[in-house]
Amino acid sequence: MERDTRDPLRAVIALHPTKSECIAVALGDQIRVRESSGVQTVQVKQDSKAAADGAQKIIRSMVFSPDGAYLAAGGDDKMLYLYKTDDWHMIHAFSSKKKISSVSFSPSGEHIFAATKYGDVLVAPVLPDGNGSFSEMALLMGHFCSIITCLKVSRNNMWLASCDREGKVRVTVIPSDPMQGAHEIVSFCLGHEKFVSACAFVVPESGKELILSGGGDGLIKLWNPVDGHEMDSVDLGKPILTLTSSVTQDLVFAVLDGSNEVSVLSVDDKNKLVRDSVLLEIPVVTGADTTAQGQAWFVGGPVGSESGLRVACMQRSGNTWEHVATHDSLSKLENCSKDDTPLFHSYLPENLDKKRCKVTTQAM
Amino acid sequence: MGDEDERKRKRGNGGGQSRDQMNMDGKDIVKLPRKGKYRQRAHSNPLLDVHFDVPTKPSDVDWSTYFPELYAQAVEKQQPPPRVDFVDVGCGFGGMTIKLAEEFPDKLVVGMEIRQKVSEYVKQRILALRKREPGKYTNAASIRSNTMKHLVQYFEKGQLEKMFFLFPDPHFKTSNHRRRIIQTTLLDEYAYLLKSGGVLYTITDVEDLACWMRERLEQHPLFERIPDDELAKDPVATFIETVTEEGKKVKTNGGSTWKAIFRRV
Repeated sequence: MERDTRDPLRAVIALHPTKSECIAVALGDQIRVRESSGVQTVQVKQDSKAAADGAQKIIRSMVFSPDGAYLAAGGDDKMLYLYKTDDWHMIHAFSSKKKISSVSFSPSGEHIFAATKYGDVLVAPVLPDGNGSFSEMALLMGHFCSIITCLKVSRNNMWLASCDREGKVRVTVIPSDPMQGAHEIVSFCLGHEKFVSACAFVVPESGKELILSGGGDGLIKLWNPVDGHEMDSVDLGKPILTLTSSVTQDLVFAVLDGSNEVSVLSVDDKNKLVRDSVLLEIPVVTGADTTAQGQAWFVGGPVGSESGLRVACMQRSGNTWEHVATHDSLSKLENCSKDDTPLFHSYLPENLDKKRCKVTTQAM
Repeated sequence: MGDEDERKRKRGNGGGQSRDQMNMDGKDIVKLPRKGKYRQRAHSNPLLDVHFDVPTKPSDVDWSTYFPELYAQAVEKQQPPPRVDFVDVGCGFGGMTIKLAEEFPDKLVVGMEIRQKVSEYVKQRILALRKREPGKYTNAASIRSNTMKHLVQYFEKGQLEKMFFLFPDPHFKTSNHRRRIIQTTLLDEYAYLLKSGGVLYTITDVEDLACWMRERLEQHPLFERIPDDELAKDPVATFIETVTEEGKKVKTNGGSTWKAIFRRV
């Protein structure tokens, strides 16, 4: 019997960097975007070569450009889709030879980086050349023969962090011309004994930028990216799925695999990790993102018989986190599906009624 | 005793470099390992997951087990322990590693090899040489590892002075080119490990591979070619041709070799 080694279906969320009402959610090959004007379905190209060969078209990573002008999404069909966010039309679909696991924009937003399951990080300019044609993706850098799980650009815009299946976290200098490759390695943050699934940069009160990583060993490690020195390690008990930093509050949200619990991490003045816990009403959380205003959005699903996904928004109020029913238009999401598959299972305002979540603080 | 001598002479040597040596009274024979017992197929797939222990990070490596005498001396003199300076990547039967240990007694040399039997041979050879000539070869060690995957887990940033890639596997098939040990993505790691001014030596008898390696090195922004006049002053650049088993084979067959020696900027 053939073992199914494909990654399971997981929902992915991305928030517009400046427009707080603009939320993009992807599940499988469907991308839906919710704006103040309503919900739209974004077209994912149907006829990619890999899809024709039988690859599943699952979006694995989705991200907005720093200025919010573009949305990029890539996944198991080996394509990287680029959309303009004013009207959500697809500008270009870059093709890669291997499945794309993580996507990021360069600090200036002029280039797009895509990590593959082959260990390569590819790069392409976002804008076409004078004749209107787009470049092929070039090689930026690589982790030899390993699956790269996450790509993140540092807050200081100088570094690109990449983590892999072997447990390595690498910090590389982003060159002025990424198409020539990123050859200068700043450090390797070595210490995880299992795969690293996510990383996130954080700037604590001291002002020096640090990096967090988490993975299959259930550990969150705090590192100095300049020399790869491990500063702290916290055991969250379950494998970590994603790490998302909140720019406004210098927090990092850790989504745990197969759980409705999200850990909220911060760094104290002694450069040690401090941990909070938030329990969401989404049975299985799979993605998180934060707004410029400090709200945290979580997406979860699909799980069990429920083929759709759930979206929840949290906001900090003093020492607690509250569920927030953001807009009335959220309740209209259920009616927007063109097909029968429910894609947004909305949080109806009457059911939520501003519930407060218990917060357990565990300083480690 | 005389009979034993005769029998040894008739049997011939273990192969090439290693010769059994007898003291004048016939006792205390320190036998060097015989290559014949350690032969292994030349090709090993570097893409496979490893089944041997690999350190998580460089500070996890207990170098005192590889250089016990030097570590003991450092403790006595209350000095910081020495660190590895030269790495022979894919050292094979250890010709280069041993030669470097002889020529540079103040530097630490490590030979890394992925094949288990061959790596064991180098280890036994070094141990036997240390016994035969006490005080010498204490600066050489052998490690079995897959350098393409794990090199940065052994050594720190800017630690190495020299790296050697002598007669690497050419991996002729285009689909196997990604297994070549000199490739752009791995050169990023070698540049990370070498200190500024450190030297990377490559030599091969396969012209196609020579062009490939030279191209990759020339295109890499962190490596620059060492001009010929400077190379002429470097004795290492000369003996990389003849010191290894491969090199000796090529010389015997009258083949050509191509060197590409670059400096980390």
